[in-house]
Amino acid sequence: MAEWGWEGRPERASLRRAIRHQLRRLDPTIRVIAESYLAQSTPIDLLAVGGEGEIISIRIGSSDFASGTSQASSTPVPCGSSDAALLTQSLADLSWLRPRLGDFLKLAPGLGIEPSAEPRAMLCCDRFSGETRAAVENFPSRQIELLTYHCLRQRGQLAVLFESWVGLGNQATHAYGDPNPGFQSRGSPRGSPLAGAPSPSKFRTGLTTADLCNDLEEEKILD
Amino acid sequence: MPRDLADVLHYFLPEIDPDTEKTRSTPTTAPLEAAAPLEAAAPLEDTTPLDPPTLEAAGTPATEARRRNTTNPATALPLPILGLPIGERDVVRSALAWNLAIETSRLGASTLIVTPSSDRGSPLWPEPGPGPLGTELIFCPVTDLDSLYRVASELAQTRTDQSRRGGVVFVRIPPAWLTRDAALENPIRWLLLLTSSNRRDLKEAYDLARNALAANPNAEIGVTIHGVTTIAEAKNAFEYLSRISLDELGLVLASYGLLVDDLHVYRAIAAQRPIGLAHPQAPATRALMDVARLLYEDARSRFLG
Repeated sequence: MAEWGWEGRPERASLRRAIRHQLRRLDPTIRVIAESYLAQSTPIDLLAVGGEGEIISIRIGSSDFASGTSQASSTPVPCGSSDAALLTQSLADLSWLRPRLGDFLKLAPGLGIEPSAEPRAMLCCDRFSGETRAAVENFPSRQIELLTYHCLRQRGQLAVLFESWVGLGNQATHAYGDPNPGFQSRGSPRGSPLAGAPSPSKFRTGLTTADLCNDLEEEKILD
Repeated sequence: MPRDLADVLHYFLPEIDPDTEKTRSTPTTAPLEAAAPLEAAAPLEDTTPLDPPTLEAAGTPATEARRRNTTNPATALPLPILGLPIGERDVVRSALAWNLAIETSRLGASTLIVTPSSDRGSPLWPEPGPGPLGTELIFCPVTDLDSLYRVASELAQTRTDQSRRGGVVFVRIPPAWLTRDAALENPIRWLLLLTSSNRRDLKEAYDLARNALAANPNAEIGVTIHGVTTIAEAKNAFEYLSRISLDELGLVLASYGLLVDDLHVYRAIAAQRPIGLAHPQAPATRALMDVARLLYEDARSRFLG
């Protein structure tokens, strides 16, 4: 079995990569299109496009960052309020992104952005306060998604485990992306936040039926 | 054409990531240190120089501009290594791999193909060295998986510095090595299986996935369905393979799209010409670009191969 250990204070860049990597397992339809994308006043850690063409703002926070600086900017964050600040920033992101969807579509038409799809936000933090969780309940399902992550280091590489709290009340707790299934069965009982089924495989393609049709000129040449 | 919003953001946005400096400063010496063992411990049989010669003197504006452009923190880590199990006589899959590497280059990535030197002179590959869009083919004198990985990882380290926007090291793995070296752990974690949609090929792909998983329980295995005529055909084939892989092996396969059955593919294979350059509007090219995009997106989210 591979050696692993919990990681307390990961480097921010490593954490962002690990989360980006694990997001692919959480939802393979999510495609990250930019990192550190400047929004209203602070950069969004990861900007992504969801399966329905919706823009997703992904903000990463940590209680460890709270004593120093916020997740992506150099703005000091009062200790203990990291997740609340993250929620505020995510809400600001949604307001900022909404009128700019058309611009994104012009800037990068190949990304599959659907301008009519409502943007949503994912907040990744190592813990969320009760107030933040309660605040999220006011929003429609999935518009604001809270993802609690746990860091571990496996063979020198940082990996994260997601424990999702979707904002539908306390009943919605899932875990995703255990990189070591054996660990789960030994170290954590079923039903605990770290136990859960892996996400299913999903077929991915950006092609449409029209893409597979030969152009008329091409057909003439072939004929 | 840029396919990634990140590719064009630098035109509009200042570089403000506070992590940038941290990440940039730590590993600057790593690729240089890694370059030495490559030359000493694993000399390449191919005479192609690893670093293209430059005619510009150090310190000229062009050189300085290039130096500044090559310090992207995202590429300070080694390029990810993608293993492709391809048989010794499998001309179709090797041609698809070569074309995928070229299409990945077209997206802005730095790509190279590493393959055992036993392939030299075989119809699997074109001439070694730098090829279309900078995709480089390197033969290495190795006889086992471990040596192959060592050479690939050293190349991944040394090329990192030159890869402003990341890249992928494609490695052909003779399928027999996955079985033969089953007692040893396969060090290549990221694998791509190319399979057609017929049941016999899907069974072969399943067997390969099983062997790869046995050789490395942490292997991340992706599948591209090739030789299909419709998206539904590819989707059905992938879903069949992913279902049995999940049921039998507990393996979650990643999907890397589809490659179409197109006359251009076979013409290009016969002529050893890149499909994307010869027939840029062909469905085969669109499909290759789509798979390359999926690979490149995933490559950018990895730390190591």
